[in-house]
Amino acid sequence: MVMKLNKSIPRIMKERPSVYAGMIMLTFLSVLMFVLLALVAQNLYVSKEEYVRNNVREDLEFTSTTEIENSEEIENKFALTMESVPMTEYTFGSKTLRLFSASQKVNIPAVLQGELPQAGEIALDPSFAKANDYYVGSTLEMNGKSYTISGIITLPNYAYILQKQGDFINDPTVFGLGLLSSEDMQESVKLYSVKYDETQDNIYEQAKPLKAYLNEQGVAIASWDYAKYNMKISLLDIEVTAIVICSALIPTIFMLITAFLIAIVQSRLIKSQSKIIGTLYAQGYRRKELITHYLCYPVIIAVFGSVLGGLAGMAALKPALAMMLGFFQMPVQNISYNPLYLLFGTILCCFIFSLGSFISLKKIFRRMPSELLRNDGKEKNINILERKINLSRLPFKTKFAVRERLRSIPNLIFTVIGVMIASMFILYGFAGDSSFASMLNPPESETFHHSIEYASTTPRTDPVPEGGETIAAWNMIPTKNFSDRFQLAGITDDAQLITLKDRSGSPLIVSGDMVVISAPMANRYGLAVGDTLSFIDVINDGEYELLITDIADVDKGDYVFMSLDGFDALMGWEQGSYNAIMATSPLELGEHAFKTKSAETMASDMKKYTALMRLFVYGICAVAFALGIIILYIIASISIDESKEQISLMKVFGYKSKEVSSMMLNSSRIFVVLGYLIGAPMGFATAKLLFIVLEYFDISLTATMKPLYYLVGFTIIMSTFEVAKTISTTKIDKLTLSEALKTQEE
Amino acid sequence: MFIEINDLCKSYHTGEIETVALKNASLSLEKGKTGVILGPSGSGKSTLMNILGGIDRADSGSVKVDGIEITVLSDDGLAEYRRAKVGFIFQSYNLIPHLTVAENIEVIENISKNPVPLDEVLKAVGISDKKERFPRELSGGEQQRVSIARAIVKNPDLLLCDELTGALDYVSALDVLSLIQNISRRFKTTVLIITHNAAIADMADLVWKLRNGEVLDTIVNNTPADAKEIVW
Ligand SMILES: Nc1ncnc2c1ncn2[C@@H]1O[C@H](COP(=O)(O)OP(=O)(O)OP(=O)(O)O)[C@@H](O)[C@H]1O
Ligand SMILES: [Mg+2]
Repeated sequence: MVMKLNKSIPRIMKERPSVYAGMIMLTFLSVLMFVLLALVAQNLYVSKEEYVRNNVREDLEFTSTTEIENSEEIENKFALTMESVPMTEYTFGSKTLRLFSASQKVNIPAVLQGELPQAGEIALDPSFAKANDYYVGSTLEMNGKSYTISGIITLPNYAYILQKQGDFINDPTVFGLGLLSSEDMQESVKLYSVKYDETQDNIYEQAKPLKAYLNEQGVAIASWDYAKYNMKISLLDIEVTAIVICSALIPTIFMLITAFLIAIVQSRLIKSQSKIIGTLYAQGYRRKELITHYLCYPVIIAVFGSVLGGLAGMAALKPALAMMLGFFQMPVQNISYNPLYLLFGTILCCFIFSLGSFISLKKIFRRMPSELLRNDGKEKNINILERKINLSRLPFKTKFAVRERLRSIPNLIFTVIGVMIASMFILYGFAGDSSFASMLNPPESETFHHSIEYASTTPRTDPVPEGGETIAAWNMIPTKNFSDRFQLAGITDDAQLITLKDRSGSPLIVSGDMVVISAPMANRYGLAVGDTLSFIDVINDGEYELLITDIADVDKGDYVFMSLDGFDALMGWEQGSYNAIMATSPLELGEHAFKTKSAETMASDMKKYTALMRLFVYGICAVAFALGIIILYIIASISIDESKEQISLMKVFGYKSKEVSSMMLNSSRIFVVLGYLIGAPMGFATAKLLFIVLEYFDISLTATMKPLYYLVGFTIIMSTFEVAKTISTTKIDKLTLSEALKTQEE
Repeated sequence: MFIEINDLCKSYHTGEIETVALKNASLSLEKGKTGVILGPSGSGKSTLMNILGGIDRADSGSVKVDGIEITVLSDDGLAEYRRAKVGFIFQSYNLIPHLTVAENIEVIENISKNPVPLDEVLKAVGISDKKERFPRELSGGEQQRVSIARAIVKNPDLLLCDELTGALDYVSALDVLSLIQNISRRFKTTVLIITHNAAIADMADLVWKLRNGEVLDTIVNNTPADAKEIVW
């Protein structure tokens, strides 16, 4: 039965366009974000898994100049697949290409465009090709020979291209990867890639027998790298995991919060219809019929908003994926537009929105129709607060304003909750920005005072120029937590650029057999003075144990400090060896063996390294901000709409518009402030939650908030509210008084 | 008897104050007859009508309509009863502001078993020319007519009219009253009119006088007047 009643739906919606359009917009945005991120996560995850499996990504790789003759025997003996490809580097002009020939069994190249190279051809990685303007069919001059570019490829062991271990980022204009046909490959080392039939979690233990065997066979191993500790491979896993978690968590939380808010709005709107509901009920409509009718509103909003949002999310998937893939080298074969997310979002929104209306309707039907007819849904009962608070000494206008607020406690709670949620979203947006800014320009550290670091790839003992301070540092892996890492540092006892304090704040000078562990690390692993810390150096295969003697109060980071001599002894380096020099101003080192890391280059590297994460966080924050503004607008419109009748009545009595609006509306301001005061810290707390998740990115982002942002947030909240108020008041002003009074009669 | 009300009691509680709205009210009316309840403001007229119409509940007593004891019905049972039998004309018109005149009537036509055709109803109440307007574009009297049209479109067995003529001038009031009378005659509708205007009692078959919730007097009128002939 098509109910005539349904004709009123579009009309009622048109009467409060800001509220209904706002709710649809909210649904649209939150479902868009939910669907888009879920699809991005799904596609990245599936593509990565497929890439790892189909292209047989290695578990470990080593280089050797020796040709291993019995590789088949090794494969059977250790249950693994092993393949060697020739590897060499060509430098031409300022550019360096690392060249391989295509492998067949392990680390099989994925062809993104064109095909694998024949003799006289070369295939390039996409970043290098793009940065240097090479495309399939163009030619590349290298050492006097010209190669035609046959294709664009990616290699599973270079999902994140880095020139060498320890690098942070790569500049694709100067370094890239190439594939040559085996005919074109000359003098080279052998790169052996190994994939176990069944990879174990602790690859270090798993590979021990293989390494021992190779040593026994007299294979000269030049380098040995586990995929798990090789950033050019593992970063893909880390970031995809982080994106999957963020995409599952944050948008779902947002969607739930907005759905909750819309449910409240719906229930209020239903309440305001209770007289009409009463009339229809009295005239013979059944409860079921009325419930069905009134559930149309939330369902229309949910379906309209979420289907559009979901479709928009799907439409944005391709460009979003392309953007993400700018940071990784990975093929995405078939983009999946799984409609389940859209379906889920729609059903969830339908359900939660309707629930708000349903609860409200249930409440309405608890009363007899005669009561409903007498009552237009607004609280006319006098509540305790109104009775108890003595206002007689206040001036009339204040008295009136206070009465107005107290009259409707639900209205008040609604305003506070709404503003709270809006503030939370807005402040959430700011926290993202603020925290990234402080990560890129970290505040003065209490522990580290250098601004430039010169790192050497090999230990050295030569004297250091004036102003420099030596340090030895090495990445280690705790034996018990195989996926973590920390930095072991050897410092001199007269170190000025690293100063340690114990937990009571008195200085700690590292000397002799002291082993000082940073407080964050001690907390993470539950270590105390007197405990033994065992760890592994996976690069050199060293296994060590140290007795912890002190704990240092360091604001963040996992560090273990010992004396430089102790460090050298432990690592088997010559006494006095260091591998880095710290300074506060540039030093004349006169050599190129050092890699310079100044505060500025660190910041810019950090910026590039975190580009994906920032894109992600800023995207989420921008949506949060938009959600906040829309919510605020809805709240303001509703609270003013609800005072409409009162305003008209006051005007009939002879008050001027301005007087009425200041009396009626200004009093709500204090509750807006209250909402902000609760919501702002909550927004900050939500941001903290996101950053905990983001630790998967291997970068700890400390949630910070510039005090200025609290002020900006406050200003935005207040001014949005004022704007919404002005718009609504103008709307009320346009209503002729007689019309307004008629509305009241109905 | 079509309507049989016995010992009906109802009181309201606001805080600690108790207001007795009905005190052992009893009355009965045959099918097709017109009854008038007379009484000053606050005497319990609307309360009585609300209970009879199944939109409010009594504290005690019995109300039988067409053989159904409605005081024992569940909320859903009452809704069915209203749907099947009752047409309301409210003291305040309670039109749906977002529906046009025609749609306001159609909303009820929609749920009726054997409705009177819409055009006929519109003509009967004399607002055929305004059927596309919205309630707020009508005068009070016109809104009243829409509310009457809405009540009679379902062709109810029982038509309840609360303060039917309060908002109307003399001529319009007579129009409306004779409209109700014609409907009653034509469809054998049982009509109950609430008013504090004693003159209207002339058109009734039975008149009850209500005061402070009690039925003081029942007057049988064997020769009800034609509505057009009422004078006040
Ligand atoms: N919801 C209520 N709560 C408390 N008291 C009520 C309520 N409804 C009615 N009353 C009281 O019950 C009594 C009867 O009310 P009722 O509405 O039946 O009067 P009425 O005869 O219809 O009056 P009127 O001619 O003014 O419409 C009155 O004293 C009124 O104050
Ligand atoms: Mg009354």
